[in-house]
Amino acid sequence: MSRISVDGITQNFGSVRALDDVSLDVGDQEFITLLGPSGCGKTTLLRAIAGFIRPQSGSVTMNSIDITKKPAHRRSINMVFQRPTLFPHLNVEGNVAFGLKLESPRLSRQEIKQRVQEALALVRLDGYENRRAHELSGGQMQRVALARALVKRPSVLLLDEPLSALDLKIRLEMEGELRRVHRETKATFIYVTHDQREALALSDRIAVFENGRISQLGTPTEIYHQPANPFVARFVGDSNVIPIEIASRSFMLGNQRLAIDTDLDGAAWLVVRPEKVRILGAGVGIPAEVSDLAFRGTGFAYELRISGVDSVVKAESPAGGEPWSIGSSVNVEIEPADCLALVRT
Amino acid sequence: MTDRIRSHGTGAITVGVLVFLYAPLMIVVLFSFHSTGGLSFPFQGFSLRWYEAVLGNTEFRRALANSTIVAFSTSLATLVIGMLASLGIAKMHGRLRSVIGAFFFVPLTLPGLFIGLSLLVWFSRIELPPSLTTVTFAHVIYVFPYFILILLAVLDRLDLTLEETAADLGANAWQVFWKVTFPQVWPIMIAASCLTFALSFDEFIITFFVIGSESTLPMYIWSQLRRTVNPTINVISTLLLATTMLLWVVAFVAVLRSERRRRYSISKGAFTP
Repeated sequence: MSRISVDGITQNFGSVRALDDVSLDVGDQEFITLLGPSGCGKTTLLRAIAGFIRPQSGSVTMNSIDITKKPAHRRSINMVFQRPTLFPHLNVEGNVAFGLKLESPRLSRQEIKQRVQEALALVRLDGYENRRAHELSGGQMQRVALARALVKRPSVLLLDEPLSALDLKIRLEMEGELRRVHRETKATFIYVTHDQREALALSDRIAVFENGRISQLGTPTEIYHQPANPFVARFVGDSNVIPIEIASRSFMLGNQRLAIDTDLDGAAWLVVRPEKVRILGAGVGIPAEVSDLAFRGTGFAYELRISGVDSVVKAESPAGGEPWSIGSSVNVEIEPADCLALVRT
Repeated sequence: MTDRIRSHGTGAITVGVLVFLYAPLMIVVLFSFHSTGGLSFPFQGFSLRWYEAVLGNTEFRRALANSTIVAFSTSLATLVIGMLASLGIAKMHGRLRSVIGAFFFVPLTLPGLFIGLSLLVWFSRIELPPSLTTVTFAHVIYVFPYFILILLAVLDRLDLTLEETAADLGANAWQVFWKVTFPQVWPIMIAASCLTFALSFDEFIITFFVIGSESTLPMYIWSQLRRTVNPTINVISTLLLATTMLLWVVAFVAVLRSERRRRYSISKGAFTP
């Protein structure tokens, strides 16, 4: 049982407000991701939970016990850092055993050895005990760092962009490892990233941060399909966010009036995912012109110009067949069900 | 073509400078093994007789013992105080650090004559009679900035997230130091201690003011020179040179070792974000 609650945390660094009255409840065994661009306060919140900073106001509670003033080394919370901070003077076994040896009066040599073995097996690095940091790849180093934190059997594990220093291929591999380790250890994971794809793939819930506040909190599908505001819509997945005027459940786009299922009236933002903008050759639809095009492997990404719309409209179409060339005139179609309207002020 | 010419030119200059730097030293070393007492060419043959004469001399042995005691006490005291001071300074930031740092580094710029004279006045004021103890005090003041400078340069390059990692794994401040910081900096501490030992072992001017009736090796050499130019001086100088060079080699090896370790820990691509 490990629930973490932060309540009304505010933290300023000089004149910069890193966290602005942030409250968040994390459930037992949950995998929650703090997602946001750099400088949005997500790492500051993680460091406050770890105990590296004591917030200027607000509190951190763990299982209903206030731990705000408890120093980092006395919290049963462990952290994996952005860079794999292995101790350079110790080998893999020494690194993983580091935290256990500090408890050594309670743990025998035999127990320590066994738990190090278990932790290394958990991250699939059994047999690497005697390697030194410089003999490991980046992915292996980060797995040692993960084992070193997990060997303490923390009820809460904090991960501060642990994959951001790794190559894409290793990153994808490590995502799978993290999901498996989360299932097997039954610990609560609080994960910080600026990579929305990672957040969607890993999390039970995502808290999207903007300027020191939680902009939206929800499951990955909620965040993706029902973004609460234009910021979340743009940050999570790619979105077209277009200003529109709604009148009696319809709006004008180009020369067409489209239906939309909303209670809003007047000024609004239209949010539509690029893969929901369908490009047709001729006939029905909104006339548009292809202004840019890129091959993405799974399909083509287009940028379109529609008369009356200031920003480019992004569209994706599956691969196969010849793509529309730049400058060609096309027609686009958007289903009412794929349109989301947000308040515009 | 021009490159070739320039490299010949710079080569000749380099050799010239090296000869200028090392020839006097080599001559001293060479003549310490001279079979006759002569201090000029032609060289008459090798012998260890002057070494025997020096090593059999009780005055010399006493000066050597004094120098060793002073240099050892100085480097040990500097190691302890300097380690604590540099750890403290390394944790400071901004203006406080520059001010405190300046206070620690100023002795580096003071002339030895000034340090010696002011200490002489100070010791007599507090009625501390001149002895090897006052010499040790004076030497600690003299070598301290060098030690701090070296150690701070290393401490400032340490990865602070390593200390945070250790704290996160349950280490208190004391354990963080002994289990994480110290293992990374001890080779540099040895190197810096070799340097402070050598500085103290060779020191003359400050020692001259505060020593009283005792003698250290540099003092002994100087007192010998005042009487006559004696071949045993070559021997003592050579021994002094050998000791200092040995200390520098130890220091150099220690630094290399720590550098290699540091490079390993950050050269892996994945470490640099």
